[in-house]
Amino acid sequence: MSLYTVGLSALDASQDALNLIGNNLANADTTGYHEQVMDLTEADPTQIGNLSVGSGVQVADTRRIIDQPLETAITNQTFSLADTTAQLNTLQQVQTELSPSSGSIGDDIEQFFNDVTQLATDPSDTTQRTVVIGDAQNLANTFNSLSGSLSQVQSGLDTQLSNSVSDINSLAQQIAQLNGQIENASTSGSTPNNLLDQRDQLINQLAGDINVQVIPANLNQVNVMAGGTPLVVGNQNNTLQYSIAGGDQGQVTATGSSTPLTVTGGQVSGLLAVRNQSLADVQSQLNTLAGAVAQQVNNVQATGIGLSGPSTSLSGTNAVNNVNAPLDNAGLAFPPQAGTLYVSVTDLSTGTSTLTPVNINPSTQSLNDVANALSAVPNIQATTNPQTGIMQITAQPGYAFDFAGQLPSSPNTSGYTGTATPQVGGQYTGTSNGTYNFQVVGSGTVGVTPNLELAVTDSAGNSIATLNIGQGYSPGTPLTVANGITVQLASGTANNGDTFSTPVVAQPDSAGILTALGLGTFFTGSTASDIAVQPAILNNPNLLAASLNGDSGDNSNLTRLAALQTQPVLANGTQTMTQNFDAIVGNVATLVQSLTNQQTSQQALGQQLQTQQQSISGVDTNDELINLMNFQQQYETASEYIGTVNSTFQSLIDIVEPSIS
Amino acid sequence: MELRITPQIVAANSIANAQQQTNQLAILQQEASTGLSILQPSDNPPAALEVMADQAQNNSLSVYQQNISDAQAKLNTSVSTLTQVSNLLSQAKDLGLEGSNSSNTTASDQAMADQVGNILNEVVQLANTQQSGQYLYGGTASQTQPFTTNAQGQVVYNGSTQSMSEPIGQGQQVQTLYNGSQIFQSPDVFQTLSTLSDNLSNANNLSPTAQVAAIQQSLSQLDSANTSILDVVGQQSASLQNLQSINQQIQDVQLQTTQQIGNLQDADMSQVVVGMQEQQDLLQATLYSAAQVMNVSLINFLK
Repeated sequence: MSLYTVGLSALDASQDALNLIGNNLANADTTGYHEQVMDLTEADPTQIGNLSVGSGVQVADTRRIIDQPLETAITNQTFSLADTTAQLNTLQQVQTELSPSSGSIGDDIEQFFNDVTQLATDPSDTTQRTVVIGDAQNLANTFNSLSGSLSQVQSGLDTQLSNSVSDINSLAQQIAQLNGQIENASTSGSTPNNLLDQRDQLINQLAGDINVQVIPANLNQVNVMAGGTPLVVGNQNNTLQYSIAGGDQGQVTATGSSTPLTVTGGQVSGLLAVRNQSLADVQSQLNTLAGAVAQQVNNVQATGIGLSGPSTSLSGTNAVNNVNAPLDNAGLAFPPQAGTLYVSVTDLSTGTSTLTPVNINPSTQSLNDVANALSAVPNIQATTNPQTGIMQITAQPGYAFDFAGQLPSSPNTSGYTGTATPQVGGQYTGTSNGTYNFQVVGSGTVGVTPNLELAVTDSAGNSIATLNIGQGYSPGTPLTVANGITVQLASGTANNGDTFSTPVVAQPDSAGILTALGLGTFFTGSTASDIAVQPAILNNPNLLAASLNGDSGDNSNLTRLAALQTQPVLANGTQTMTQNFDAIVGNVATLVQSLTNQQTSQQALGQQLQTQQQSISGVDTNDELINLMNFQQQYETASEYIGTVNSTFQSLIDIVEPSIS
Repeated sequence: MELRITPQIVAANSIANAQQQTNQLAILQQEASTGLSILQPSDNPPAALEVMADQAQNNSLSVYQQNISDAQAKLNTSVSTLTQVSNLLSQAKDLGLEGSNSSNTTASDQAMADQVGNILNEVVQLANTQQSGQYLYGGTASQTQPFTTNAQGQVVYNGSTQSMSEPIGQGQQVQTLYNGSQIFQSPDVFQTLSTLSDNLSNANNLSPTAQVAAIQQSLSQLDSANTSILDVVGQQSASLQNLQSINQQIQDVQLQTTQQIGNLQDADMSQVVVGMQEQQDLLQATLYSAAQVMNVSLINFLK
């Protein structure tokens, strides 16, 4: 009966083939489907005597057409592209936040300084003062809102990372399950092609999340490494988790391990890179910029005089954490340095003022020590509040104080015995703090005695000028000394060796103590998130310190303020504030540009790889249709053969039949 | 090996190409509708940064221009004020010369003395000239009337000895509010006019010769006062000339910068339009060819 068996095997094979073709056609557009082909082999021949007689055809295997190296290349490309795309999406958002079509931080900084420059034409113009303060408030608001937006971007990234990690865990579990099913099926000798396709598809999805490495194992199983850690081993899977480690660094760890994974690809890699690097950089750069704006503007504001004149009382806005701790360790955002604070105290009834230097050493002095040093200056009192860590300075009634470092009304004449009263005037334009010492050479009557001179030396004893105050000098006429300083002597006598001196101040607060403690400053806060205009100034635009000498029309301090616009105060003295902001935008823009290019080329590569994969593993409907006809004919041929065999046997039966009947 | 092309490959490639072309078309369309080739800094970071810096420069130059016109207004007012003062001093001098002519009667001497007194008042008024709310001759004390008459009838200076300068360029300043005591009180114009008036009316009852001598002394002081005022007029005229040339420079720089900004960020319209046409043709070709190729299948022939 082997003839029937042969025919039947051909029918079966054709049927299986038709079934396979149908399956291929049905899945022509299924993602991740690989074309399947059938391997046919001869059935084992039957031995009849010396003859080996064929016993038909049998299906050896159905297998997927797959190019493993190409599949690996696609997996790698998938996680590279996902990495780039994740970074790009976030940085494009950051770029838009940083450079809106109008009103960026850079624009706001420029606007502030431009309006300061304009206010310099008339510092008494209250309307323009309000404009300048409005500009500053705008700038602070832009810093605040940008900082808020970036924090939101950051927490959005944290959420995405957590989601990606759960996705990875769920995929790992499914892959492990499939491994188990594949193992079972393969043990029984068949190839579970549909399960393999499903698993490959899941691995590709996994590659979109994280860099994976696929290691083939026994019985069609695979082990999967993710970020350098075994994620799936046989039918077992590990789980990952996302956490934020010290230094605000996001990290992915395997459960039970504290070592972060080496994530180099996939969305997780991109998100981590943006969160821990690019975005963190932008955030810290903005904080540095906001701090510099506050510190620089505060330094100028605190050492000038507002439209209402010197202060009678000032309360700090920056607190120390301990009024007895050295200022170096007092938790101040703008720590002071060793230097000198010059305090001017004006007697409001006479208009005369004194200028007293107070030395500050933050490594040894606490807030209380500084308060005591300030209280030693006549007619002012500094107190601290141990609860709030704030210092307050108050003038005695009838007095007011400022830190503009102007010349005192009269020089120190303790070494002067003559009757011709000396007076020092002008506005010091030198660059360093010091003392100008004046010594009379010769004795006689000012403006009369020949060869009566005044020798002027600086703190280091260097000669600055020698001036004639004898014959030919008209008493009371200002004589130019140097650096904007003038001296004059009234009529009277001067004696050889008589001296008088005056401090000359270029930096009234070389210690930066006023900014450190927030005394009479412009901004409060020290970072992008907390910078704000002092409420006192918002309420009273006249407090904007435009002047150094206290006159309503004096713009000397505004000139100092406006000069900040072009001073390289950032990036180790190489960038102005706006240049610094532009550089922040430039860095992000360059990154976006290079990631965009990277994404374009990765997408092109992906398209190419997909084409190749389709070319090898894709279902060509035309091919299938030809195969369909082929197996249809084979089926018909097999049927015909069985019919022929049948009729052949029928003739034999017909011969036998009559004797039986 | 020849690449085996399946209908799916044709479809996928057609979709990818059509998407890319539509994208390109959208970008060109945006350039055409905004007129800008840089829509985001990342489109061209170096150019975008230069545009930002150029725009900032133009804005700060505009402020300097405003300050220059403010300074020009102050200095122009000052020059015309001081010229008036100078003319008044010349009038006073003429009166003094006439008064020193001994043929005059006492009545006309008194009239001349009154006239000089009026001139004194006018000069005090002029020395208190304001421009947009600021006194021109009080130095930095711009809100305090610089010259007032005290109980003794003397004109005293209440202003500041510091003059005020306005920023008109990076590191450039021009003096606009002058120390009035230096202009009007070295030598003291008011004192001189007052003395002249006294001498013309012979308030101190001098002998005719002594009166003439006193008047002549006042006249010579008047001359030196006038010279010092005209010196300031000269300085301010020079400042005005300087301001004009700085203003011209600023305009030149702004024009150049604006052109530069245009070169950097403006879309080349002809290129954009041609590019759009090109992309449109390509997209149409892609869609048309896809429709043609994907129509071919064995299925069409099996019936």
